[in-house]
Amino acid sequence: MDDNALIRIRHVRKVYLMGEEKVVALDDVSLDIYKGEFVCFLGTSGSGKSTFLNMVAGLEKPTRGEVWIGKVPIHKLNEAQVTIFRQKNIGFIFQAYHLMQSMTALENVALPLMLKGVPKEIREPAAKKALAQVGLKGYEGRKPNQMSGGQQQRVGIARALVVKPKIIFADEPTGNLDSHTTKDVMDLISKETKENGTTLILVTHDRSIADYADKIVTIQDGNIINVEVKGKKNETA
Amino acid sequence: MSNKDILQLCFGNLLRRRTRTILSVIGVIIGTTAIIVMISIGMGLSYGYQEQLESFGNLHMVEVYNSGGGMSSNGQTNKMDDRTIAKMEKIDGVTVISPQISQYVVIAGDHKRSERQIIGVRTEMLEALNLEVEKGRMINESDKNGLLFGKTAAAMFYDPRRQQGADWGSTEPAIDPLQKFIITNDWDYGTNQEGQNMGETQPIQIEAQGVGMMASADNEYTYNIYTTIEFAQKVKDEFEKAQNGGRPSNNPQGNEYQDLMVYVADLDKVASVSETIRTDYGFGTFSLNDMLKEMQKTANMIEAVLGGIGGISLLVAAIGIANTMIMSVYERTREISVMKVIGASLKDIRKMFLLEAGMIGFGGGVIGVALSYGISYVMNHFLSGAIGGAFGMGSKVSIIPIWLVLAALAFSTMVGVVSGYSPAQRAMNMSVLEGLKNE
Repeated sequence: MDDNALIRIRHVRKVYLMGEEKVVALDDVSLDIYKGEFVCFLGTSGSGKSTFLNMVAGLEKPTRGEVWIGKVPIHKLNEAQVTIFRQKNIGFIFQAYHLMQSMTALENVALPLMLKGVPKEIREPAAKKALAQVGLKGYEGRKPNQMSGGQQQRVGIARALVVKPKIIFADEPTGNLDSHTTKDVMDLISKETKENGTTLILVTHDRSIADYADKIVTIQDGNIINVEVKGKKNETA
Repeated sequence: MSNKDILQLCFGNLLRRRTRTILSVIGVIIGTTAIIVMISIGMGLSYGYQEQLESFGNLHMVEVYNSGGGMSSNGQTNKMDDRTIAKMEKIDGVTVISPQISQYVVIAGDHKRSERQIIGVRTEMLEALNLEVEKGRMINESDKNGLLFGKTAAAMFYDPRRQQGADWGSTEPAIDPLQKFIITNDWDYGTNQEGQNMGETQPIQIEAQGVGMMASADNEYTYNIYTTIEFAQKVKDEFEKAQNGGRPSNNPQGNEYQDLMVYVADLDKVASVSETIRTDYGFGTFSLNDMLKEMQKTANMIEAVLGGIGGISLLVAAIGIANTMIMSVYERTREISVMKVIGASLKDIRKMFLLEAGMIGFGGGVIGVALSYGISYVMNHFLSGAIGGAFGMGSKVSIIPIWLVLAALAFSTMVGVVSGYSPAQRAMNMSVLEGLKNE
């Protein structure tokens, strides 16, 4: 365990109550993630990988354990504080894109900036630039329902990039895309995050997608069973 | 998030759910209109009462009688003389106070005569009453025997050889009011029985000079002839002396007055002035304002009942808004969650929903106000004859004062915000994960 890591996850446990029954989603997980690293959480459905991501992103509180991002104890923040933290530091890419159906591509990309209070004169050019970055120049005025899945996910990526976050979380970003588009989108994500030095945490069940990552963390039944770093092999936890 | 952006976002959201927004707004419109129109009818009623009373007399005036013995509540007796008047002048709210000396006389000029009340008051009082003079000028204190005719008083002169009494209803002056007049106690003056029915009373004739005539015939002053206190006192003394067979009257009250007029410029103080005079000085008082207060109480009650009926419809509208907003929160669960995840602060989320609800309330309120003005206009122009007559209302059935408009707008907006509060709270506290799963 390294105290200089950007994200430090220490003995995190998450137990859900399903009626009377306790379900252990995460048993006892510890991990270090460094700045600029592309980390993939690999696991089957129900393995606990999404819970793990939610915990790190502050969307859920661990039952026990600590999550630190830099000097901030994520596990201790209340919802309002965590929201502010996310606003400043974190971008999200979703499997289902989660674009605002009523807004154009440009407005969707500008939305995180608007939520931050950035005035229109500044956020619209920034959003335009981000759209061009993901190869959607000329699509600014399109609504989500006028675009293909791949295009929608590109808008989602632009929306995550536009705030220049320290960390981007992506939960099955290619889950709804065909294999050809998947490759395009994955290339785009890894290229853009590498260029900006952004830390990327990606959750997937797909081994071929995991291969894009610098570090593959395999999760099974709520525990990390394998950490694979490119170059080195089988650094078991 | 900047307020401008929030506003735009809310507006967009309302437009997107156009049908539902319109229905909720209609609810508010009906509620607001009901409240405004109902209360405006109450106000119209109250105004009608006031109008009615004003036609009886001046609401600013308190008449004070030398009855009740001038025994004040602390046991002190007060004489209604100049010293007491000087003290009463200092009562809070009193603008002008004047003794009122009146004598019923026969007055004649240019072969015509009239039986009239001559009333002497301080000239300040006449000025305070703001009576317009149509011919000649106001009385002033230096007038020795000047007379100011009420418009009707000038019209009610008649030739006693041709007719028995004056024609009622005319307001055209029957004589030139700016001439010399004779004031007499001979009730047969000018007839062929002149001087024959005087009995013990000595006939007297006092000369007077007309100086002016009032312009309006629509007030209580129109029937009288006004003059200075000195001249009225002189006429009164002469009349009493003549009745006593030439001896000066043994006036038991010395230099006490019988009546006072008190003018209170501030309508809200009329009641307190009356009260002070009754309790601190022990004199009897009368003012139309007392009646107005009673009538207004009734009007206020009617207003409250009518307003309550309107209030119920706004309450129903509030439930409509709450329903719309709750539906909106459910529908937008995913949208709200996404916004939260990508950085919307909880405060902004709540603000958005409160603002949307508030906009429904405010929008409905604005249209409701406009509609109310329309309804009020229609009622005043087409119903005032029919309903107004039946309920003893004045010239207006419905009055919408500006405060009612502002209050209604504030109220409808508040109703919107209050009914939006719980849905907004729900949106704010909603679990992000649940919302994102909802797909």
